[in-house]
Amino acid sequence: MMSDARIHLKIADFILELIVPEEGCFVLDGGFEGFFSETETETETETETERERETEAETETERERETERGTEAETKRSTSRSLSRSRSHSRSHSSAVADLKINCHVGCENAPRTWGKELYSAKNGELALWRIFDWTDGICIHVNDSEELSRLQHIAFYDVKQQTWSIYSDVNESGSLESLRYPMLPLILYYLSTEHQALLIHASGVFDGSHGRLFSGFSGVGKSTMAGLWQASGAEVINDDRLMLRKIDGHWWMYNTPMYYSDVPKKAPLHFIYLPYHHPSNLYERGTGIQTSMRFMAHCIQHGYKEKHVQWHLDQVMDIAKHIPITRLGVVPTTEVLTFIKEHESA
Amino acid sequence: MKQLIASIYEKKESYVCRNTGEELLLIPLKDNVADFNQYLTLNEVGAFIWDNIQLGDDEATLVAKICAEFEADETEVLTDLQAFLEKLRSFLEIQ
Repeated sequence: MMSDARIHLKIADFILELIVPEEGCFVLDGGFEGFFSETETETETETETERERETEAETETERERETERGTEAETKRSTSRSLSRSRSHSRSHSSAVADLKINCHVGCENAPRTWGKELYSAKNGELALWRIFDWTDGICIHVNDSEELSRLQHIAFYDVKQQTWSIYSDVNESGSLESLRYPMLPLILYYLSTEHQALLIHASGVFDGSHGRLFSGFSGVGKSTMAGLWQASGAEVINDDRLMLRKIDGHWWMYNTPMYYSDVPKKAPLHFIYLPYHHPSNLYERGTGIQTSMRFMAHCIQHGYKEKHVQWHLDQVMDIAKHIPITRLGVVPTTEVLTFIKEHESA
Repeated sequence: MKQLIASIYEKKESYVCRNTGEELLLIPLKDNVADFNQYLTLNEVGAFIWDNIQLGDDEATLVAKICAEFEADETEVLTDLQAFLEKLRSFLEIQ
């Protein structure tokens, strides 16, 4: 009998343990490549390191064979690499440390038909990208293919008490299982954030070695532009579109999460929050009161389905607003705005 | 006005309330998602009215409740109450 394999991902300092069927192909696309948990590597014994080398060597050989085999090689290569890593990691990584377990199953038709009434529908025109249903131990989500909304992509059950997901997915055109395919992972991260002091937000974040700055707003206000200006001045861009914010040991941090492109985990302390907008001149308007908090709150990502989630969001935003200055920032997108910002921060 | 008060009462479930210490924040829920671009802040008296509106209340009932809670002139309370209820009518999109 084949046993399941385990893959550990470290996202925003959360450990996600994926339990995947060892037979068949399981893939995490390039966006996850850098997020395999590094924790285990540091604690590997020499024997395990040797095994890892052997596994890598086997994988290399397999890669060469696959290259010869042609077009399907790319998918299988990432699969074999993922699973080989997970095997070696699982030896030294106790599942007890996982913040979340994700059981990945093949076939939507194998999902138990145990969900109840519909709680929420994320409509996109007539069709829904996902629908949330009541379920005995939590919620059940039906996720459709974002490029073909009439096609069911996942049936996922979230056991809130056990902090465990069970995701049933049909294999893709290449015969591979993609249990975390968009929008499944953002949904998982959202519900994870509701169990911790965390928020997902549309924002860019940069760290210049001493200060972490976040620029939040809707599309077009200059989030990416600001990130680009800071990057050109030598700062590290945590991400230029979506961040997870977490409060750890009394301090708020910003993290990137896997996107569609390859990246590595990044984090930085959060010191300043800006709400940029285009303006004929640079303008610095430090906010106070509820209006500023609500402007910031409007950019948080919400996938809630009950009032409790809204209240939880409010709790987090109020705490952030209490500890971190939020400033409306009129921006002329040139490097001068960086000096302008620093001068006002230190004033 | 009694009909308006009843309509406000019926709308209460569609709003998330949050006490921020000095103010009460009302945030509309649309399909269970909060719209943080549309919100209303109520002062102490406004929050008291929002919290104490009951189905079947009319102006006189509310004025009596307010006067019992706050030391205020009844005529002045009635004028302020009518203005407040009209503001709620607009915010809650009551026809």
